[in-house]
Amino acid sequence: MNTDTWNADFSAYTKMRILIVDDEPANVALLEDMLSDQGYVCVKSTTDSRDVVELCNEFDPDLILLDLFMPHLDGFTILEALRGDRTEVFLPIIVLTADVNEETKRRALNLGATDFLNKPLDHIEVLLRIRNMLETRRIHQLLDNRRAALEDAVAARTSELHAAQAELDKVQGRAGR
Amino acid sequence: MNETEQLHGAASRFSEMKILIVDDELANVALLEDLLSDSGYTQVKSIMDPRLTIQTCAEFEPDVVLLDLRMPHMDGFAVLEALRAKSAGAFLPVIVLTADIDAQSKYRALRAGATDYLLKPFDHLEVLLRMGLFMERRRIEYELHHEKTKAEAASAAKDRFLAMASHELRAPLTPVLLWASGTVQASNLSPDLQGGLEMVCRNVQLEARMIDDMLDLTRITRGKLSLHRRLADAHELIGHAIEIVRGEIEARHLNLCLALDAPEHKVRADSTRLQQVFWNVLRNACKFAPERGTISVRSFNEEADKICIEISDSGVGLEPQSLEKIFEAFEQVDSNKDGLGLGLAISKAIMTMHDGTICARSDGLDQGTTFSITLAVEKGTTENDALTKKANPPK
Repeated sequence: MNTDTWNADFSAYTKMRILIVDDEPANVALLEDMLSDQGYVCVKSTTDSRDVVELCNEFDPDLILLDLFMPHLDGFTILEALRGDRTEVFLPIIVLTADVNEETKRRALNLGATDFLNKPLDHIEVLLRIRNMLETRRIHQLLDNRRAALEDAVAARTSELHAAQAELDKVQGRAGR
Repeated sequence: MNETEQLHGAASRFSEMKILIVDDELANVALLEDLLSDSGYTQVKSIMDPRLTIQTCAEFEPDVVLLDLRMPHMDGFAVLEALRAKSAGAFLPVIVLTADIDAQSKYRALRAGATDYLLKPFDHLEVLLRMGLFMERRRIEYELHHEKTKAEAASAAKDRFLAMASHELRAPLTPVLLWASGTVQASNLSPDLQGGLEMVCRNVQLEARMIDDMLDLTRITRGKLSLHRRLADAHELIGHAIEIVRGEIEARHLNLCLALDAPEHKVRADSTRLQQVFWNVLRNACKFAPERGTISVRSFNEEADKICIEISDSGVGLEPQSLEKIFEAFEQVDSNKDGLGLGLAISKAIMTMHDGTICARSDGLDQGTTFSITLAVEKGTTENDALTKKANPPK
């Protein structure tokens, strides 16, 4: 299997931050290995779902991989919490579930999951979904930056014009003397 | 809101988006068409002969392509390659449909340019979810493209406005200046009127110069200033620049010392722009030299392949902290002097574009200021050039 050729497609996103939330250490380790093999360098994980909200604020992830069934707080509760107080740009949350039940998926989607991955995890599928979601997020960010840059440019231009105007007034004041 | 509503909601937001299905199996096509149209997608087209894909894409301009992998005549891989070759650079999501779950063909499809895949038999929820995600992706790409176009249009409009404004602002000054400068030479004017007309001329010229400077600076910051570099004689250009400020030199009884001694003085430059630099610096020297003071202009080949032109005045000089600042736009060290303070910023930009330098030095207050302009010379061209004879600078 030649995965090297494929790697090239991922190089643009390997610096984006990924947060893994799964109470099962084996699952976390598997995902971490997959991602680091692929060149992702900013991966953080937790097995305690109670840390997620705080971690999100600190780490500011670009993508979250979220297990649905966990002790203390399950994935649904976390989805609610995250979608409740985050209004920023498109933050993809990919839900991990061994439950193929449609109802479960619907519930997760309704609570704000962006996509899901079935367990046992398929290597290609995991990397592909992550790549596609990061790509979409990057485009959202580009659009946001562009809008912000445009506003900045307009503001800078306006203050430049004001400065020039003030100078002109000053010069004209002197010329009149 | 239940899931079906949510996915339908997604479909209704994207109902104008176009979906192309390429599958040789009628049953598959019918199933997907029903599923998509039931969910609110109104622009669905299907073809069962993969050889028509490229042509159909060109005509229909789909937002998403659903592509079967196993087809007669031309399989999905071949279609993918043809599509990617055609739409290089543009993002067109292609979702391959496959019953084949082995990793080998997934890799192959992804490497050939598939964006994602859907496994047969189709999970309806997954088809709609994936569709919604790629439609959202398309929408955001459209928006980005739209923003770019808007920004470009806005910047083009600004450029047009500035070009027009320059013309409009400057045009009314020309007849005023013509009349005033003609009339001021009449012999029968009262001293009052004479003085008044001279003031009019001075101020109109100042206004025109400020408009030109503002426009130059705008062009420079937008990278719109282009140079027409040809072989030029630096000494001749200095001579021209001196001619322009001669009136000021005489009016303030300044003493001009010329020592253009550089043996190599041919440069590859935009002569209008380089002359503008010399003129800006000379104008500056005239402004800052005291009445009956001295301005000296000298040239030399510091290194064999470079010419350095130094323009010094015997004025108040500059504090060390001001030496760098004077090349910034809108910086006027002495705010009692007229002008917008753009001349040196423009000169610096012009010199940088010529791969040359301009810098100022001063030994402190009342020690005068020296500007050094350095530029590469075109060696060996000075001797053979007839222009050398005309280059004798005006005394």
